[in-house]
Amino acid sequence: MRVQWIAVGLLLAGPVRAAAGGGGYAERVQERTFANGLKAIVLEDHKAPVGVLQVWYRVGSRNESPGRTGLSHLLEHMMFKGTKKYGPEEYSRIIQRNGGNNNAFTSQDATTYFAMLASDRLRVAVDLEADRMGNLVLDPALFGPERDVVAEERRLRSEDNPTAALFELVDATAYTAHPYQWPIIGWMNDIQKATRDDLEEHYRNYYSPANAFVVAAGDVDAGAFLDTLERAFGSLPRRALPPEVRSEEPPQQGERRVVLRREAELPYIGIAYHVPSFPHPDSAPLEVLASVLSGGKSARLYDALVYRKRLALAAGAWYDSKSKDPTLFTLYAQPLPGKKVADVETAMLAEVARLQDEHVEPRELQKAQNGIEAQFVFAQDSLFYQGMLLGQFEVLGDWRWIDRYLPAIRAVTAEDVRRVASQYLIADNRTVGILEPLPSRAGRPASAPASLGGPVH
Amino acid sequence: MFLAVSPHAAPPRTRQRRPAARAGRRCAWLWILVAAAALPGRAGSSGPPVMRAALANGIRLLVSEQRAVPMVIVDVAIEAGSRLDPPGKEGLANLTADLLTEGTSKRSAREIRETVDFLGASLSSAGGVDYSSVRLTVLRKDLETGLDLLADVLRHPSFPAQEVERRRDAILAGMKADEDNPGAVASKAFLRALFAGEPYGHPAEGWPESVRKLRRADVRDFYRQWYVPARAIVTVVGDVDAQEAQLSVERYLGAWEGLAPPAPSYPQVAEPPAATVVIDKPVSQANIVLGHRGVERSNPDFYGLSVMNYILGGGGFSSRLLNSIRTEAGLAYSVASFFTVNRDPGSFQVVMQTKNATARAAIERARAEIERIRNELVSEEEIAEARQYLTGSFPLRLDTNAEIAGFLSQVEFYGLGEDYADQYARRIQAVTREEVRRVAQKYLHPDRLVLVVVGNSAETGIRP
Repeated sequence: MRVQWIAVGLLLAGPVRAAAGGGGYAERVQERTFANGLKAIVLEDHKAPVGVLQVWYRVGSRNESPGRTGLSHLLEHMMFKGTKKYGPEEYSRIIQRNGGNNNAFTSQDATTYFAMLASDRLRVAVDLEADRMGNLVLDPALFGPERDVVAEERRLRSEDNPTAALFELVDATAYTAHPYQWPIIGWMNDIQKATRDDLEEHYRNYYSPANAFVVAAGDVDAGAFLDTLERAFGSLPRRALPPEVRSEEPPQQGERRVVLRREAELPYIGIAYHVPSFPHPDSAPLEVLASVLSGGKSARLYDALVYRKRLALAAGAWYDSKSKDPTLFTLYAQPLPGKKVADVETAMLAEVARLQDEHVEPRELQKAQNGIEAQFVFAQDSLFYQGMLLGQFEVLGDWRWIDRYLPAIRAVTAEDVRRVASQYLIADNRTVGILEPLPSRAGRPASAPASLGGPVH
Repeated sequence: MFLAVSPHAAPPRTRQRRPAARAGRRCAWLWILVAAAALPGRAGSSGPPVMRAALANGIRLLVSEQRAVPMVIVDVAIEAGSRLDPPGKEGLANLTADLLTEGTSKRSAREIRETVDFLGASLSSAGGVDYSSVRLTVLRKDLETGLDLLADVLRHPSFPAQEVERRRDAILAGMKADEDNPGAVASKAFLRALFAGEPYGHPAEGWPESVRKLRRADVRDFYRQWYVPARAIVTVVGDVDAQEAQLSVERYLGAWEGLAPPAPSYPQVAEPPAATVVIDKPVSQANIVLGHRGVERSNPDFYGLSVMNYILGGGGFSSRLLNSIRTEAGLAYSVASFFTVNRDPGSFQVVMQTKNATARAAIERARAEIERIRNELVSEEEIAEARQYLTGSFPLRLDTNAEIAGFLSQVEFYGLGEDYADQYARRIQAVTREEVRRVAQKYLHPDRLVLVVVGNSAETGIRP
């Protein structure tokens, strides 16, 4: 349907590796840390006369607390509402007037603002970003309507989307102590009760140069562009770093099951296991494991559930190792009409058991690794996505880790895959979420004019 | 899909990601906007470099050398879209495209998938409205293997009976799943209301009642009739030498034969009068589509309309609809207007979602903006911004191989001309305030608006 950010960012599912053929990223990137603690990372890429600027703040939903969820995302919205120098929404208008696009997104670990422009106009975005890092005005008159906008966003993304609602519930069940338990957008109650002062505090705590970094990529001279960035951002005052997130999820001891009953056409099932993230040595075998299960239509879950057994409309596995704290490895399936969820679950778990009992064949292992490598090369087609990868690794610790990624994938053995399947994909470590459709109360046209050609379902 | 100028096929449903894995983007409209402005022109001069050739069998070939990344995209646009679906067999073009990769005379569906995945490549086919697409994305080193496969699925699909059944069931199940997406429900209801009885009056995937009746023989006959080289545009973009790419395409597709049948005419039914369609659904937001018929791609007012729509509702935070409904009133997260532009006249639509209780207020604001742009001249500032954005953002929309391939295929399909990129910029720059008002008066019809509301009717209070 609506073109999602995801679709543009290419396939985030594909992990990362050094440039195919052309050496690693370390050779193509320059970095500089300014006196106020802000780091700048610049990737030269001259394939098109364009550039992307991304400002990353190390704050996301993991930095929030119960009752105050969704603040990071709400603040992201308010960052477009003006500074001492520019009026509300001026940021976007200026970028668009310069032929550019801009947007922002919030994740569990970070908040990112980005603009794409012709490379000779990229500095327009630099000045605007530096300005709002230091001079945001949180106008109370603008806060109310924007909070309503975010509530509408939550209705659109979560409340009226049964599968999204299911995965909110799975997260809330799988995590007991860690902030990954609540949705990035926040719970509806918390959004509606958030105050301007909450955002002021969030901005003060987290939007400081030393808690941020800038990624630029494109048709620029890296050295000269670092100078441009330093002129714009370097004069912002250094401030104290925010407190670290101390939460740690204790080991799960026993399967958890959760059911969401609501009006929906088809059931859905998600099975989530606690797993480590990059740079934990098990993250590469887990990526390969996800690819064996879900990397294309020949992968095991599609082949078994969708193709051979005809149990599901869709089936796959989801694991993104680029998470600051340990994350979830998720299997999912949407049963076909008339199929029992229990049968689908059994079939999913049978595929897990097979991975624990038998080594994947050499060719299948190679296929999974090839898929990950090719995705990485294809990702280089997009400047935006390359910037994303650098930023994600920097959030984890160091953008240079991007170059360790592919060698780690290539080194994975069949025994590694079997081992991580046996260690993590076990009953005691899983949360099973099931969407159980209730028959619709409505769903019929209130009345359809005969001239419109009958029922409109 | 809500693509204004781009009649691209919807992406295939093969790769699904965890729905809640990442949320919280500020807005989704931006990408609508990007798509909405597709087919623009570079401000200075020239689009991507391209070599054009006509093969002896009628294939039109376009090659653009992009040597930066060791990958190649081969995009085949076949003039066999859903507009050719026979009445009662809506969804046939899409099912046919979908089945191309599900078995050939020498490869089973699983063999095809295994080969593609082992290369780390992707090979997808999807039905569109005017044309269907088959797209190969492959590493440079695997191009020959990929082309061999691509040619096989294009030339020798075998449509095995069990695969026909599988894909048909999957499409039907996908439609059922779509009913949980109120935006999709609204969009389909709008199409049905606006174009009932016309080739554009159904979604490419068809209706449940028509898809259920599709048989293997239908698919085979549709393929035989329309999948001929003279109806194909092959676009190669990536790390290739243009001459070598031509030789490769000739090697794999040069022997493809078939005569082009005469294209059927497009039967048009009279535009329906203003109407309200209400679909009651227990959701928290009213999903609203408001619009009427639009224009065809070759309409000379396309450029004036592009500027007008940017100001009205295509330009995100620079647009009037977003400012009124989102920024001022806080009623919606996403609101945009667009024209769907195909070979024959498509639609004009305003699409938004707001909590049920404020549906009326949001609709009133949308109607007011449609009236205003018809009655008053836009400001100098607005038109300058629109021109600057539409012409200046051109390079951004062609900064990946995938985008270049889509652009070249469309320029060729709609016959926009080799100098289209330059023409576009010139024509956008020439649009005046008076021109914006003229096209608004000519193409926006407040008295003919079809309103679709999918939501909780008791709360919206909107009745047909």
